[in-house]
Amino acid sequence: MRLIIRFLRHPGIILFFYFFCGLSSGRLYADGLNNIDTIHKTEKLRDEDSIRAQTNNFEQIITDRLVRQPKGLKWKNIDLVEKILVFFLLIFLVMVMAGLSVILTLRILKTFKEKKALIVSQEFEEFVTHILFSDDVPEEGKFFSDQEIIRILSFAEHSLSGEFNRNVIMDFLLGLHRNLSGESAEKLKQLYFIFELDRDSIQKLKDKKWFLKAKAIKELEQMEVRKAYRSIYRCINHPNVILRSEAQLAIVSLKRTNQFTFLFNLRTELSEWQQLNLLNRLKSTKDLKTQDVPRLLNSMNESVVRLGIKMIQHLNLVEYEDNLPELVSDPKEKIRIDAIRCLAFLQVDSACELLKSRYEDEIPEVQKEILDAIGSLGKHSDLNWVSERMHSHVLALTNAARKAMLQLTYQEN
Amino acid sequence: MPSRILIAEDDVLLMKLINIRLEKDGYDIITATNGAEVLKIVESGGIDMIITDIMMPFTTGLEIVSFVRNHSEKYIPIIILSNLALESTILEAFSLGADDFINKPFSPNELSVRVKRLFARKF
Repeated sequence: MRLIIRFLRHPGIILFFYFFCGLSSGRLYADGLNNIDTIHKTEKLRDEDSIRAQTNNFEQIITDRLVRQPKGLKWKNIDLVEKILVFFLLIFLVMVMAGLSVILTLRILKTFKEKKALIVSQEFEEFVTHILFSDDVPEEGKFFSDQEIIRILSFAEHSLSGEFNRNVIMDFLLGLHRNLSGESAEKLKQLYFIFELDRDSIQKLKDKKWFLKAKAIKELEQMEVRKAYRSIYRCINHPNVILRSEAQLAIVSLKRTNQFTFLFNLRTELSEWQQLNLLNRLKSTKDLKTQDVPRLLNSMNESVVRLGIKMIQHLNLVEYEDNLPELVSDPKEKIRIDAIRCLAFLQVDSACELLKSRYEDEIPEVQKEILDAIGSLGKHSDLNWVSERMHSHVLALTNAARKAMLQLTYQEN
Repeated sequence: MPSRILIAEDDVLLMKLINIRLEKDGYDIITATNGAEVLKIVESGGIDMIITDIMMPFTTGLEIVSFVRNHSEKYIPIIILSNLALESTILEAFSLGADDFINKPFSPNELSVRVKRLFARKF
């Protein structure tokens, strides 16, 4: 508005009105501008008065408040909301300080333990290298000479006091044992027993923390501490999956005979991974007795039955192939699939007719396995049967049928 | 002058054990804990045999074998130590030019015998 008025008061505009619109127009224009000025000035004065009045009021309010309030800030005069805020602020500050103190203390403790562990491990390194590569010749049937025994006992007395030192030495000894074999590994194992570290491992097995139990099981398994078998056996059905997996694998390693009979008492499920781990462990077991494998196929535990089938397949236990056809009709789909795969792997030709008879009553996943098996087990006379299955609305079945056709045709040629 | 053997192993305790065992046999030992160190030492020369782990930081044992066969003027026998007992790894190691392959866990006494046997061969 002010800009417009300024523009209108420009001398050029006034002259315009005087010269182009006539003298009277020019006078009227000039009078009009003067009136606008007067109105603005009056309004401005009015605004200033009202502002001044408001300011005076505000100052009065502030003065009243200050007069009413005594000097200094007192707790009882602070509002409730402000009191609550201050309280929470103090709590927060205390918690931050406490948290920082705890972190700092733990950090200092950790650094101290690391330094201590380093000293202990360096002493052990020096000791163990002398023992392993000593020139002393022990008596026949013994691992250490008399001099070495004295050195070992001296080390045990000096460095094996306290739980911390024993744990550090245990970790080092076992870590080294994992990488060595032969005479050196045997000497380390003997040291483990001479230092009575097997007692530490068995004690750890009784701990409530599952990860310490699992660690203890690994230690006892590595050092073949057979007397711990019963304690480890109690963990095969533990609710913690890692702990029970370790226990199951350790049982297979520690037992001299009937390495997998613990599976008869297994109440928990074996994952695919655990089944493979157990299978791998059983495959590397010397003189594995397999007469109890058919019993696994009668287990109520589905995963145990599946492991039994895998054992027949991967250990080539052809003497038990007659147990498989029955499993092709099992209520559990995964068992049926595993049984069909095993029959195909073992090349049990006699199962061909059974599989064909089951085809129509099966779900697509099992039908696919049947087609794959027929491709492996079937003969030329089965080509018609397979070709009739090539026009399924399920793509996987069509593909499986085509693959079986190719295999049977190639076989024929 | 004793033969110089370079041991490349990132497990420090195991490296020390091998070091002590071979020093007892009268060899001069140099150690490295990663592949980059090994390459530098090989380039500087003076090495008569290399014993290397496969899995190491920066450069694997197989890469070291390949480098030594392609860049070293003299023939340096190489022994591989590994806990990867896969057939493919063993075949690859030999195809690149390794002279021996020892699976972990291994016996230090056995390693000592293999080292002596390799030095006895004329390259």
